[in-house]
Amino acid sequence: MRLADFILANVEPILTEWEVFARSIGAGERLDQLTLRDHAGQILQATARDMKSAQTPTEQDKKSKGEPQPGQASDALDGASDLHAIDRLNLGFDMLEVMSEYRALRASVLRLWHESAPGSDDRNVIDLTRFNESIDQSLSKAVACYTRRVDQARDMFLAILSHDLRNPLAAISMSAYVLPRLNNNQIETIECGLRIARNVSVMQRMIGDLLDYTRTRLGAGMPVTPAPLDLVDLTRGLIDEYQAAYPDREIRFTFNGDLHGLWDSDRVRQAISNLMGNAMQHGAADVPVSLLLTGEESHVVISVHNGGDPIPSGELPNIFNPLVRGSSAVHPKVNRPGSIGMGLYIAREVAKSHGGHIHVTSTAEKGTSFTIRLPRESAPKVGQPILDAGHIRSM
Amino acid sequence: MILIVDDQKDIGTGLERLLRYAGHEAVSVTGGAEALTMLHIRKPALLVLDVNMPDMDGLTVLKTIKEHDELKDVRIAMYSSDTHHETMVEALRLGAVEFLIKGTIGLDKLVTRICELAGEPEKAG
Repeated sequence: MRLADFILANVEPILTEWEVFARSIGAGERLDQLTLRDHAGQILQATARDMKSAQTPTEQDKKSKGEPQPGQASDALDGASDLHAIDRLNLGFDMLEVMSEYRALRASVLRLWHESAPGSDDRNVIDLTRFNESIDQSLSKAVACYTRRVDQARDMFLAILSHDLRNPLAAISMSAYVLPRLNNNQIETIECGLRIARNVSVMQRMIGDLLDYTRTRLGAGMPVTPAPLDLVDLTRGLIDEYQAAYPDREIRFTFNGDLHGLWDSDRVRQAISNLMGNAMQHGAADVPVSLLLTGEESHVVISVHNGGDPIPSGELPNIFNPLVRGSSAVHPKVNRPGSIGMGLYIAREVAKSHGGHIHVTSTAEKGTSFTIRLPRESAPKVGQPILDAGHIRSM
Repeated sequence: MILIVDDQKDIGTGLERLLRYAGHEAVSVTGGAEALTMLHIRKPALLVLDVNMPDMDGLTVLKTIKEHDELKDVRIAMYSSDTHHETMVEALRLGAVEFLIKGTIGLDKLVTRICELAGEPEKAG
């Protein structure tokens, strides 16, 4: 049997082998999500069909140089490679993990092919060459697509950041302009000072979010300092703040079970606040926002619910990824003041850094619920500061 | 009178104060719907309008005004941090007289330009 026919006849065993192999090379925890194998299967099938298509020496030469190869089989392989790259980007894979998957796919095919004892026919050498060329073409295509998507998303992210920072900056600038012209008007001077302080705090929050994002994306992780905490006390304070900021909205708070444990107070507060802010921003104004705390034996569960239009199902897998989430937007979306649209991402990182996780459900009938589940006791975690004194001195 | 529409209250009140120092009567509101209500009570010499606002975006407010027989002659200057070329072109196409970008124009120049667009302050009394 020729290698292309062998691949087409053994797609499922190859995918199974590939999955085991991919885990063994430590491509990361996200490989647990390899339930979406459709695109990998499509790559295999497109690879086999590409191998079976006729190829002249000129075409082979072009392919080896990575030049475009018009043709139905080659186009199908390119399309499957693009889809696979987008799929992996959406799942949060980094570039190294995408490349590791290809390495695993190549190794799986070759091992199973070798085990099938194909014999020492000269055609096998040709088949292996064609196979490697096709896989290399697919890998190049996937890497190019992945890089292009990340670049687009990064540009948009920077546009949002610069857009949202301009507002508080303009407010501070106006107050600084007015301040020396106030002629000892004490009330206006105090108002100006408060306006500056308020907008400085907004900018600090945005920059803090950006640093958290950068720190976690660079793999240094979010630092966590657990200490004894009463989750009810912490949440009550937050709800008071939100009720003051949104006097027309109804907020319902319920809790049950033991809600004491060891967590990083600032981080947990940040996560709940982000979920509350998200519910206020996106929830229907005439439906209460509900916050429910449940104490279980070894875990606590924090759930924030809002009514209104559900999150489109196509957006749900990417809802926690700020770079992917808005990549289709033509204009920066309007964020809440003091937010650069990374609240859900940071909430997820807070949950992860405490050894917990977050998930979302959203339907037209039941509304939208974000649920964080945390172990009752979290281990301390020291994140690597990304802008410490050493870094700054070396800049 | 100059009417300022910006969902960021601190920007609206800040600009309001700057324009008062420059001798103009200025009022700020925080949403498009509120601005449309104000326009029916009193037409301003100039409307300074933000683009990205949660209740009604600035382009919709602009279009609504320009399609209204009694309001269409109101002069409107956009004042936004939205730097998308399509947004600026659309605003000018809909009838805005100017598109001022937040953070890229000094406050002296901003106030001078808004005052020029609004014309002479109305005499008190």
